[in-house]
Amino acid sequence: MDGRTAPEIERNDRKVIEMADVEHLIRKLSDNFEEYVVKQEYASDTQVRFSNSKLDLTNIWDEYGIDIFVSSGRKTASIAVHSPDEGISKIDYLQKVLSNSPENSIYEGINDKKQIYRAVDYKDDEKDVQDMAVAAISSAEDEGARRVSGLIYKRSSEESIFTRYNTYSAHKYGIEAAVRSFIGESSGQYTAHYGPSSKADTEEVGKRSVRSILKVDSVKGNEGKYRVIFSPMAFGNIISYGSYLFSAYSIISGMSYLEGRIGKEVANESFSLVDDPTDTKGIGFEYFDDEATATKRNTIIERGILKTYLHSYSTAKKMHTETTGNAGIISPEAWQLEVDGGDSSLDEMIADTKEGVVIMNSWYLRFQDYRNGVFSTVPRDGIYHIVKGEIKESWSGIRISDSYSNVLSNISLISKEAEYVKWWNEISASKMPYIAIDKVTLTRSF
Amino acid sequence: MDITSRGAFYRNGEFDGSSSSRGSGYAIRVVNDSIAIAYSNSDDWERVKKRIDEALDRSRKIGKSKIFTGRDVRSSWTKLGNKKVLDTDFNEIVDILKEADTAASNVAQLRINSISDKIVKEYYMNTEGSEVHGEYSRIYFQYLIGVVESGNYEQSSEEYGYTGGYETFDLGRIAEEEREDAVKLREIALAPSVEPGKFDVIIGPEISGIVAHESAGHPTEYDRIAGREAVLAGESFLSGKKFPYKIGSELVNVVDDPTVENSFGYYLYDDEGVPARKRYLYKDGMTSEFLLNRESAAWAGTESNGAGRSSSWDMEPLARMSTTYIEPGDYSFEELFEGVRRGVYIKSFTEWNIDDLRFNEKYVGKEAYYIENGDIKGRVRRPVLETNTVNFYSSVDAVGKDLHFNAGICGKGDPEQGVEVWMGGPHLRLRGMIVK
Repeated sequence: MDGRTAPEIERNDRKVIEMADVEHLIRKLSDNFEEYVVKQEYASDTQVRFSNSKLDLTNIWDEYGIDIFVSSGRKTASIAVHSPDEGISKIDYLQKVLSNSPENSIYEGINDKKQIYRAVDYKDDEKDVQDMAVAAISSAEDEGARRVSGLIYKRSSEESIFTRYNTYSAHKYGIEAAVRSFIGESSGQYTAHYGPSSKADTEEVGKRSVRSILKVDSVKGNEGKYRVIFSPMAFGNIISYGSYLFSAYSIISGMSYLEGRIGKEVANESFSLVDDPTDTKGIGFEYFDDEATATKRNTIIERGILKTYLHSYSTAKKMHTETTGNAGIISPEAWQLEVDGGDSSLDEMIADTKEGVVIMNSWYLRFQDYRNGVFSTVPRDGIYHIVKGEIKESWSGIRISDSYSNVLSNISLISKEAEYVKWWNEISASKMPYIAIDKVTLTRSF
Repeated sequence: MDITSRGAFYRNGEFDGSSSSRGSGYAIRVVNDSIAIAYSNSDDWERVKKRIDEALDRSRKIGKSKIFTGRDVRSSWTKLGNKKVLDTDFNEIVDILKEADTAASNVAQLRINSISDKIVKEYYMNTEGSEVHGEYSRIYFQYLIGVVESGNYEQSSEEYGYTGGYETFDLGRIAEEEREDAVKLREIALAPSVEPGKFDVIIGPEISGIVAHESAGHPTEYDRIAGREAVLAGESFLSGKKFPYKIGSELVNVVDDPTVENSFGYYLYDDEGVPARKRYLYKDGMTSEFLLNRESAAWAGTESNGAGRSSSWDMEPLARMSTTYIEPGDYSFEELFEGVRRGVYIKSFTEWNIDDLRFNEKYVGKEAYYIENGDIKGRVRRPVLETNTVNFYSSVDAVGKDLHFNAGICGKGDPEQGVEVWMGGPHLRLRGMIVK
């Protein structure tokens, strides 16, 4: 431990864990393994789910857990346990796994540079989660919803990480809200996430879910290539599923068409993409990655040019560069993807479109080709056909069937406004604008 | 519930590491004016009690409060098999991965093989006096392979899963299937696309299985029909319908059955202590039973039929599938092809998805061939069936007598719960489908 200690974790006036026990575990790991990472988390989360405008369920979590990673040379092993004592009891098991493991060729050790972590000072939002749910339902109904479903998820945790080289502990906090409203057969959905620098406004989420339902005739959609205006949620869905393409692990594995494209044009020059775990307005903020590297804002695509892959210490060493603070020790991942910098608005985009489609949300993205990023995803919660700059009708039964290289290359307009969207496993915590993309292939069912 | 699990990964001939975990805790559901569940893994009773008190307080908020209670059940069940997961060395796990990787290594440039197993101990009790103890183990193997041939890339992902011990796991067969799959991908990469048009289509069991899961299993989950999952996985095209509702051809029967021996989703009591049994979701082309947990059974005004599943001790039980399959008919493989003048045989799939009402769906073929005058001709690359549930089942005019299952992890709920399932069916013949 080199004399370092971490703060006690206390909740409800009761200590969750004795730090002396955690320090004892760390000493044991230090004595027995070349490298170790210990992550402990105490989560105290509450979630309310509702449907048909009534509360279904309140979930209350009180969980403590420890993730342990150890290595010897290039051999690695990890285990999750629920107490320091259990961790100590598993040392023999971990040694046995290490001795029986083949070497892990990607692994290059744990980041040994001393890290400087950001300090973020804030208080948790004290609003009650059930009250926030009721407010979301009421505001949606006031806006005209016939029935409302959704969830409010309040997360609060104490997280600590210990390696031979770095130690840090932090309180984390955030709220997610998702509301889907129905008027007859039509639905509208709006989602938001709030980090410690934001004030949750679930009434607004309720209202926005209804405002995206437009009173126009509904017809079956037509196949073809169209300009598609993606809402922040719809583009968030595409970027979230495609974020693996930027991971150095995918590059090393041969799973991404972006291999060898650093410094080359991979998107329209109007498009820039960053991964920003330092943005505390969103719930995707992180202080440290899985090997205790302090996280930072990384520009992945700058004005159409690919600037970096997402790296752990190991993948960075393999590719002769610096870690971006995105470990997963073996497989780096994005924390909070953000697209900024447009100069248009949704209304201007619609007015600028001869014929096209606005897609308000999308889900169930699947790949037929991971390497080239060939996919389809199913729009929902508002598909609006534009003719001569005006929304004419609502479409149903269509699907976006295209590839990431086409989508990124054919971006034509980006809005000034951007929204913090996160929805279930479909949209990772991200900040996305409205984006108009030309020549998007839409298909339909027969 | 107490879950001990482990997993390991092999990528392109290299070991990518292993992981293991043990998690256990309590989930206490209370019902008053609404429902609340407290989850805690603390060993300190005072802490647990505090959370139960919080759940009690929160359950007094007005909301939905119906729940099927039923009679008390006292029972126990186990499915640990002969070659027990606990007795299987980590070395054996690594050897399995090595052998699977080697099988495809001559052909596939991309190879990711993973294996995991787990042992679950579960104890359920309720205020009606039920006490159910279950103990089982599950094994899951998945591969993803990719082949580049003359600049064209093709990929395949397959899953295998079982409940019981390692005697259920036939490594020789799996490795051989992976090897054959890689060889086929090389040919598929060079095959022509389909000239879009109307074809008679024969689909293989892998596609019958995913269709049964996506467009029979999911839309008959009663919590979806009742709107409970609207903000997440969506509702159902069956919402608001009068039942029984006609789905398609009277040749179509779709079953969900947790008691299929050694199946990946096998259980004898669900995670709400309700006995498991076989359920007909579609019978003779009409809706039949729905998948019910205790909560949705109360809304339907009936009894739970044992579909309440939680992926872990800290997840709410939802109405879920187990083994969902289209029942076999009486056609031999050869008989299905007789009378098909111009058709496409789509044996397996790669990409698929479906809308949130479980109606508008897409299946992209992996191994697929043209059929001419009853004979299988050359391969076709990535044929697309983009259709809807009623059109699909209405187009079935012959059902094969074979039956094959594939494993999968089915997602639902927030936090997302992946539960183990099998999906299966026979070969089916569909008339007059648009293939793109």
